[in-house]
Amino acid sequence: MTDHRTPPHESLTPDPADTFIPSAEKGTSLGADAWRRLKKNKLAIVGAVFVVIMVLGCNIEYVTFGLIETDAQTTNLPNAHQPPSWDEPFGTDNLGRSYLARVLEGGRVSLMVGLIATIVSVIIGTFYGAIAGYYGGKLDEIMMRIVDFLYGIPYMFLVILVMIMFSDTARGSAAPVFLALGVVQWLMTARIVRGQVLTLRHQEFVQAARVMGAGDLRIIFRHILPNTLGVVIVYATLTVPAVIILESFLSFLGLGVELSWGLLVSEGVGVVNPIHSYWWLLFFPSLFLAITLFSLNFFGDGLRDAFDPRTRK
Amino acid sequence: MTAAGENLLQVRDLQTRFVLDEGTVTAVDGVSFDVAKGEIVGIVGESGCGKSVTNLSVLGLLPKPQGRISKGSVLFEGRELVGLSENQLRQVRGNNIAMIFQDPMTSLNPYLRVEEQLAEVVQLHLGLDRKAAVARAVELLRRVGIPDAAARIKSYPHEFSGGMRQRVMIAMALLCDPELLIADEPTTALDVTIQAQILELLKELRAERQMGIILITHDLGVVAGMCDRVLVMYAGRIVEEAPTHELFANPQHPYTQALLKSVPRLDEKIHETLFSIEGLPPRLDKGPFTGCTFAPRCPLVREACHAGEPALEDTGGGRKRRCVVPVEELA
Amino acid sequence: MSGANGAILEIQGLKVHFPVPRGVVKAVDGIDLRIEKGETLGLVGESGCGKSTVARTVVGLVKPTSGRIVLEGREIQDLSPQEMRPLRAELQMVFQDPYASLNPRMTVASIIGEPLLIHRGLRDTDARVCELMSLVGLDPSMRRRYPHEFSGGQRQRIGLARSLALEPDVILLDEPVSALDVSVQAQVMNLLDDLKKRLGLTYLFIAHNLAVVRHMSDRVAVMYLGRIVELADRDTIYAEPMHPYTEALLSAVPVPDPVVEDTRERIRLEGEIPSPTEEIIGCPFRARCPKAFDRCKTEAPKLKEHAPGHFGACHLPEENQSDE
Repeated sequence: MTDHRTPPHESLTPDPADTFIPSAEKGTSLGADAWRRLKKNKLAIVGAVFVVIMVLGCNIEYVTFGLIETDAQTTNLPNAHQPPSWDEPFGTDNLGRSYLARVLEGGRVSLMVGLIATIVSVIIGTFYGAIAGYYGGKLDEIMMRIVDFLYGIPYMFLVILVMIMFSDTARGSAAPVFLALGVVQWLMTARIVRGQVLTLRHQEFVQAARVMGAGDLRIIFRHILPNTLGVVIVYATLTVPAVIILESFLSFLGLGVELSWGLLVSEGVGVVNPIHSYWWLLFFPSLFLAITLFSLNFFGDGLRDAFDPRTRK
Repeated sequence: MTAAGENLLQVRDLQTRFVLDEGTVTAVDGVSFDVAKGEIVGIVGESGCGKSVTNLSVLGLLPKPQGRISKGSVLFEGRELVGLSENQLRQVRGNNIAMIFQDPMTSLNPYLRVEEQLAEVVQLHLGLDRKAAVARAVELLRRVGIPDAAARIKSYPHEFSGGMRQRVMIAMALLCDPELLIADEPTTALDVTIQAQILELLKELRAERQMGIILITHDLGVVAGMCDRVLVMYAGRIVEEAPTHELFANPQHPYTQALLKSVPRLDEKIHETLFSIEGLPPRLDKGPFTGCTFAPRCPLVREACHAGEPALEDTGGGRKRRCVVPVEELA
Repeated sequence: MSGANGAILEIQGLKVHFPVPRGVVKAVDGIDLRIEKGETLGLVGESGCGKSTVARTVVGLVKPTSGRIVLEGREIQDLSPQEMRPLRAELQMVFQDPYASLNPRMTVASIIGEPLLIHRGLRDTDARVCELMSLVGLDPSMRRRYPHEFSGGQRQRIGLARSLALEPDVILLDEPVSALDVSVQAQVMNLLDDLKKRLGLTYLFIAHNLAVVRHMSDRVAVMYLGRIVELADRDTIYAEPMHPYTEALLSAVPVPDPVVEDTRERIRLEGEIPSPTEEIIGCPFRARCPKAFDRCKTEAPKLKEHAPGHFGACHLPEENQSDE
């Protein structure tokens, strides 16, 4: 074969010294666009602010800073069942522990469970869904049947199974709870991501990447996954409250961690009776739980609207 | 106007606005035109010029709540349509004005047989019983050229090809004998040989029923073969209006001229370089504009163009144009 | 074999069949094409005729059922993605939809620079990206922007810049201007012409718009139902079409001139393109052909050279000869 390339593409051979690189103005990415829309959604912003307050509030070292005198574990039996007062704004529980400290400590655990279980589920689900959707065919078939199968098992059964497996080594600690909840939650993420990838796979920009010689990994990570990000973020935001509720439910059944909002609520329910009403034991953790769930949901909905391409012109 | 008689539709000084997150966009501004009985009026322009919004405004089909008619009037057979309730508008749309779109699938329900969809319209608007309604539907399907209509009416929309689907849509639009048909890019999604069939059909129907037709298209070839009169729109405004022959023979607006020159034609010598209009149409969300909206791309631009928006002036012979450059200089 | 006689891309006996639940779709059913270095070959046909599948198969997005694709003397149809990679630099493609063909999450700089990163491992592509952007008439200072901030025509320029990044010899243009507005379409067509001249490119120009193809091409091939029915140089095919389908297609194109339109005789094609799963005996165009006769029902016409450089797949010329 003759060397057809001998007459080089003249204007295409750059002399680096001559090439003038103008400064570039920055563009607005789709993310920035979504952020602009999100800012207009009052309810979502209020939700986000509340979430931030909750997260910060629950994680401050009150005792070290002297804001609260005792921590969540210090008992003071003579002081048991005190109603809310100036000294103890949320009252005390049956062992005389500061209920404010307990609610904040419980919040820290609940939020942590929600966050970590969500991250675990998003990571597993995204990769699983992306691989199934991208390669398709038999592999997809097998992978998604596994998901269907796991989905068919009642999730409580799964969670309880995991909890029991760890019961000897780590009773009451948070790790098995994270694991158990993550295991349940990733299924939906996997399905959502797979669906997204299936449509993205046939998009012209993915084909264009293939034509230019991009490998599978590059196509998945550079071209497909970034485009599922919006959906995944939105779904994750809505997963956090779902996990918090699940964890509360586990605590209610006595399977949860040693201290969380769910546990406090369940204890609170136990002591509210017509004879002596220790209402604060139910009221405060429920209030905090409710505010957090609402805020997360509002924020998640706002995110979804902001990312939703249908609202874009 | 043209040979055709009485006025069917009178649009006067129509202004349509969209209130979006980013601000208010005036998509259609000061549009006035008439459609007579039996007349085909073409509206041409590039995407975003407001040709579709104009017609959605006429039909009261603007997306709610963002879009609304902020000024002007739409008279259909002397009756004001702006400000009618949703119910009244639905009556008008069912009985007097029909519309067909580029993608027939958007207006056909994929889960219902064609029979159901067509008969329902007839029953609702003409008060016929089911049997008579189906008979009428079959008759119209036959009229628009669907072979074996009595059997095909039992099919679902996806069982028709693109061209046949557009025929079904046209049959559906004709069910209640509308006086006015608005066709929004009816053949853009079709192949040329099918396009020729559909356009032929529309012409026949016009002659047969004395229907007024508004044909919205970006294809100047379609306009040339179909329309009696043409409106050229740019950036939400009518920039030129003329009987079809005159418009093509002697365009009086630089935009129309440029548009005509930039289309490659089968019947012309091939030029080395196609004439092209530099730049892009203005973004309507960047408005309001002072001066002529075409000025930044206009080869004949001059001082006066920036001074204020030129008025739509009547140049006689049913022609109007929105340009300050004297007609003689345009030749 | 082909490098010597000037063909830069050669397609021989290409078939692409897709199995579907109700049979087999013969998207491409045995076509031969030779594209000479430096020419533009236009490929026209109605939707579903297989013209896009041809391009997709040539660039390796679709596996051919049979046939050979020879690029600069090398058979490429059976190459693995790894073996194909170095050849991609020579063969690029521009897609139809200027909105779908650019990754919305990447800046223009990274879109245009990506082929350089993949093929040459270049990290700093800024200088080259700026150069490519100027080449296609875009302002390089906009390179940090995202695709959605550009208009359709500008996006098509971005796609073009990306395909030019590796200095290809052949570019397959799949309906590159059909999604664009008239005024912008002219700009992009002029740009394509200009780039071809400046960079010595070879184009396979695929479109359904016959006027556009006529303007762009040196030779034109007309496809119908997965086969080429006519192939000739541009002036011949438009002035003296040989195949009844080409004639009908040409007569169906509306001309933007009411005087012409009013006096024109249209060849009305009855019916529509048969379903691609249908088993066809005889000429695929027979059912719609106004000139079909007995032989068309039984025997599929082969693509033959009826005049120098003018190929057609129709029995008519032979029939007419035997009549004389």
